[in-house]
Amino acid sequence: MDSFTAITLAVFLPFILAGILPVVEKLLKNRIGWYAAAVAFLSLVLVAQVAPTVIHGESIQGSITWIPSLGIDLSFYGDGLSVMFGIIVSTIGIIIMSYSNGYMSKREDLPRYYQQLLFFMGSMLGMVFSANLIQLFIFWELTSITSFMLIGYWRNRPMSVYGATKSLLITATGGLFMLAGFLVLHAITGTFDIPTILHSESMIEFIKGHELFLLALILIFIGAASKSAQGPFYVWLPNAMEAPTPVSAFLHSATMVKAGIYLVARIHPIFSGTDAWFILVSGVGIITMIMAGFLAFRQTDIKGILAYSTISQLAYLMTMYGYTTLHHPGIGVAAATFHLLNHATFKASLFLVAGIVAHETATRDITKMGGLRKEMPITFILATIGALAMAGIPPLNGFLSKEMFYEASYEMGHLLGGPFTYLIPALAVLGGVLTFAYSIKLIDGIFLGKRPSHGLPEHIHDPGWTMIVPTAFLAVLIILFGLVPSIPSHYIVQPAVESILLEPVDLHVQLWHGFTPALMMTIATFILGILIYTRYDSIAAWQNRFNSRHPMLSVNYLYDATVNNAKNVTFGFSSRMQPGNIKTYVIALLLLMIALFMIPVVFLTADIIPSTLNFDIPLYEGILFLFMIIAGLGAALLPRYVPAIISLSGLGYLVSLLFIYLSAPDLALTQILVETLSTIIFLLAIVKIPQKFREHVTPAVLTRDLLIASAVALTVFVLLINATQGIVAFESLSHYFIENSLPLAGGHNIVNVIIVDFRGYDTLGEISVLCLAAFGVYNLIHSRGEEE
Amino acid sequence: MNNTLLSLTIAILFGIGTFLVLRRDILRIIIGLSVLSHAVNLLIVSTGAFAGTRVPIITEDGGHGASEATGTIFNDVLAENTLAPITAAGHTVNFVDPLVQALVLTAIVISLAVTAFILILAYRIYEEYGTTDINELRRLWG
Amino acid sequence: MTTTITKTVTKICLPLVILFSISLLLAGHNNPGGGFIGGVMFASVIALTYVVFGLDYIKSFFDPDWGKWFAFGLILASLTAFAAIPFGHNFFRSAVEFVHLPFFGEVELVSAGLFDIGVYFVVIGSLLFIFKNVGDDE
Repeated sequence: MDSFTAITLAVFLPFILAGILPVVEKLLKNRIGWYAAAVAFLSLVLVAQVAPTVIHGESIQGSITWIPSLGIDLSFYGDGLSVMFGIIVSTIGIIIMSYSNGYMSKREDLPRYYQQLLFFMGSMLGMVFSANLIQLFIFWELTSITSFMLIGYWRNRPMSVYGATKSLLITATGGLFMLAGFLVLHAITGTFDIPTILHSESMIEFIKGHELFLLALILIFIGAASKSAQGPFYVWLPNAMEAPTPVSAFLHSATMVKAGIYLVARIHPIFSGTDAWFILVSGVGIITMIMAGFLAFRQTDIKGILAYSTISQLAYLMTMYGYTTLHHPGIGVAAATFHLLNHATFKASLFLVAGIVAHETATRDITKMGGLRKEMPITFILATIGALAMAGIPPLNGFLSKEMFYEASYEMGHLLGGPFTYLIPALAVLGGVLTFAYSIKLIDGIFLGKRPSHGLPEHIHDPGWTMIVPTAFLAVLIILFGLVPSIPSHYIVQPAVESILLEPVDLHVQLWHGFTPALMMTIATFILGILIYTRYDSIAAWQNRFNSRHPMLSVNYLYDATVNNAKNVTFGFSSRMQPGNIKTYVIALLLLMIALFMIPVVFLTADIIPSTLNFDIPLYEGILFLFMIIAGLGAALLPRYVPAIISLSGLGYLVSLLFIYLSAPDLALTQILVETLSTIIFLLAIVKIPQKFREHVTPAVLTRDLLIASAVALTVFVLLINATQGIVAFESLSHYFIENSLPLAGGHNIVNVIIVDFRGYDTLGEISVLCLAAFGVYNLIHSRGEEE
Repeated sequence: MNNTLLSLTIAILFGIGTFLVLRRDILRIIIGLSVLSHAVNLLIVSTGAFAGTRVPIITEDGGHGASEATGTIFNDVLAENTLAPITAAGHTVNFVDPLVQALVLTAIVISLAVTAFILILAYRIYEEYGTTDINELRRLWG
Repeated sequence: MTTTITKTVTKICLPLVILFSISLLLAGHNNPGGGFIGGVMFASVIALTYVVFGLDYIKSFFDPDWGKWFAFGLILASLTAFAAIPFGHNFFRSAVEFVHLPFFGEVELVSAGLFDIGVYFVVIGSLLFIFKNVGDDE
């Protein structure tokens, strides 16, 4: 199998195999979680097929024609970065789906759950392998939509719905900004193709010098920041913790929120090396890192702490990707990419631990916990590994990448000079200190100390192996990456870094590399971290006091106010636009019709009523017309239903006579038969509807209606006599049909040939309408009495 | 060649249909829609029928065999503003426009199904709310 | 409506009209007719028997599920449309074939004819489905 096929399959198989999940459920019952895990494994295998190619520094590309007229193809592009993301997404996917077997109750709607997880995984894979900005946008929004469904999985819980809506509103709006940014980029470069832009140095130079550069950067970065919960957009992530914990682990450790990071890394070669990039990306990153780390103190929900820590950790990544100067465009890229991988491992394992704890103790409130180390020894060990990795304790993998972060910060500070020499490293250390403190809090609050006397179930124990093994697997990875960093750095991180920097990189990561400034910063972090931790509770209490005193000083307040006001405004607007009175709509439509028909007639013709009127017709035609008008008037004016309907069907038969005169035998035949049937249906219906209501028409209403009716009649008349005079010159389509009916379709009856052959697609649609009408009637009749 | 009285008749049917659609009684509205659909069908067919005289079925004397029919029946000259199907060059065959007939043929059958649907809808509305007055219904729906 | 005359006339008409509707369907490609017309004709003669003899009486010995008819028609029509794809043609591509049969002589087989048969069944099925459901009601 060639690489392109492998990638295409890796992206689309989750969608297809998730589609048949309801069928699989019939076979496997409650064990469909293993099926879903197998699908994720399949994706991993397919992505891994591509890995050898990209390790050698090559990239793969291929496309299937999709919208040629817009230059948009379904095209995939795989380089080190996308393969790294592909591996992370599918590996964590396997772990999450296996873990869910233990976590999700058998009573839950499991097919829906796994289906959405797989859809989400497929969208994520599709996004990272997209070679085309529009395609990337589509998959990007698909991840927003699927994560909306996943976060709102428990759709009966108001908070869950609130969290899901919030995440959708913020990330999808950000996605629209991103789309605008892509369009600006297209305006600059003239292409949507990512590799074309990446591999052309002259084009990148041109973009950097273009006047729209800043606009494109800001728009795309808003998209990335909203997805990765950076800056003011962070507010959706804490509320998204209402999701089932495996979902949180999947979305917020490795995938959904990393999409923003992926985008930043993807556009890094295009935009980095400029001041704007550093100020925007690193600036937002540093502020978010410290703010989120600080706000984590206040949280009492375990998942809340993890949510804020995720925001803060993502901000690390943003900060590192933002480190750039003109001559050193990618100072923090290696550190960021390595930390990205490490964060996926330890954050996923911590979420899974949080899930285990919540599952066993039936609470997520850290203030109600303590001393669980004796009852849950295995969980305690796994949690400790994860938390210490996050805190940056050697020899775990978090330590390595945090050292690299400090190193990059130190270097960046020195390259900038001036006050930044110390400011940037100091801020980096501050971020590290906060991380250290809340990481310790997680272990201390849950597992150490004394078991509270009440609030916890009496018997708490480690969960079954379905939940332990996936978590333990991650813990093993954490230790392995820490002790033997050359494995991940060589096979996964290095190709990714190369594809971001677009040049060969020789990456060496070691546990010990002498007394460097970074080591000093790490030691400072530990000392300050312990000091801050002793004040943890008083800081949290101060935050709570501040918050209750200034409730309006929060982004959440702004969000809620906006959303609630938007509801009122739109409701007011639509109730004014749609008063619900059918007559208003009908009159509006008719007036529009008159305008649309009359405008071309007035502007395109010399005389509105042409002079070549022809009243010269045989007598029998005149009598036919007279009868038609009489029948029409009868249908309108006869007061009782039955005579009116008889009159209407008389009109129908006269119409079919007229069709014969107009040389349309098929129509005449159809019209006669249809008229018969429609009369029967009319009569059947009015048997059931007694004529109780008799409208009393006031003179004012009568005048208005007659005016509108005459206007419509006049419009049609003018239109018709002008049309038959030929006011607009265009060739009649029917020539084609007449000329080709016999040679192409072998039919003599041109009308029938058009119906079943030339315009067969139309006819298929029309017979579907017939079926729909039949279903509609059936449902109307059989829906009776269901509401009671 | 045109037929002003036919145009006038169709226009009057349009007026009648419009007047009925503006009533308050649902059943009158449905009758109005039926009248309107007759009028629309006639309008479409008549635009294609004025110029031609022959039924759009290719018969032996009307040029059976592709070679004769191809490209000889119509001779529009757009530059001179002459339009289909005006004159036959060397042929006496003047088909009426088959395309409009095909469109209307399906429209007739569909309008039957749709009329049936809205009639049953009206019946169910009457059953649920006990009235066929749309103003009253608007009040009941709130 | 249920006079002896209408009953007798209906009995005589029924087979003739059904035959006529089939002939309209099959002749449609070259003469006036086709799936729509044939279908409506079939539906109206069945509707006539429903009206003349009463729905309940007819149902006691002849009660097809009209829903299946239009489902069949829709599937047939779509299959005809898709059938061109395995032969390497575009969606909805039609084919004409002249076949020589022993007794009928030259017979023209058109794939669009199958599509027309689909239309025929959809028209019959959906119209009579509506009729039966409305008539059955209460």
